Amino acid sequence: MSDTMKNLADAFAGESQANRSYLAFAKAAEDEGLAEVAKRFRVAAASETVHALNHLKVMGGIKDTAANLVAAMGGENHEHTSMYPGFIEQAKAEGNEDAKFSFWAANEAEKVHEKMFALAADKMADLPESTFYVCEVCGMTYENDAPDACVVCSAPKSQIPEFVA
Amino acid sequence: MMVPDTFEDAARCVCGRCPSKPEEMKGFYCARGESTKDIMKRGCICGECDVQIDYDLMTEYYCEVGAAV
Ligand SMILES: [Fe+2]
Ligand SMILES: [Fe+2]
Repeated sequence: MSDTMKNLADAFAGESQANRSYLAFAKAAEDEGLAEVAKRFRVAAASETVHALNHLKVMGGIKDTAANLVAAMGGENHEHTSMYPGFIEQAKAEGNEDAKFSFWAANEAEKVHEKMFALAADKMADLPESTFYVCEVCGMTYENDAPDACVVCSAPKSQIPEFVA
Repeated sequence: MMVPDTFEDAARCVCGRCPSKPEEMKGFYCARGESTKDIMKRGCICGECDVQIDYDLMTEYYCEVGAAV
């Protein structure tokens, strides 16, 4: 990989992280009653999204949907078979319960995501129309029906809203 | 009675609605074990839970005492 391709990958990761951090900072500012500060975090977050997508495009990271699904499945599979299991063990060894559950919750959702993408790759245009629900607390993803309690984090159904695109 | 840690039973867990649940991603304490956080006892709703009824659980505050045995 050339230095510039590596720099694009690093910049994509950094801009993506900045986007999520700024959205979290905006929410914190809103909770503190600092609406104009929050606005600036949201403005910067929107801008970082544009940067991230531009870098990804230049890297050749966006292909046709069949290829994008393969990439997505690979990423999800890596996370739940390799990355998170190792992270969970490490968090256990270090006695960091919050990290362990944060990793475990993500790991359980990644399994669902991989299956969701696999079915999409198989059916493509013939996919049935589904309704999805995402737990606001842990991110667990449900298709067509949300349980009374999130099976991962026990959040009540009221915190598992229907996903609106 | 031990409560198996299955998603089927977890889906019926009421911990997420409990006023005493500490802020953490862990729940379903009767199966998954106690919280490592300090429990502020503001009432226990384990008695209302179908899991508690189905597995003949008698104790309260599984978030503090740990998994049913
Ligand atoms: Fe995922
Ligand atoms: Fe959840």
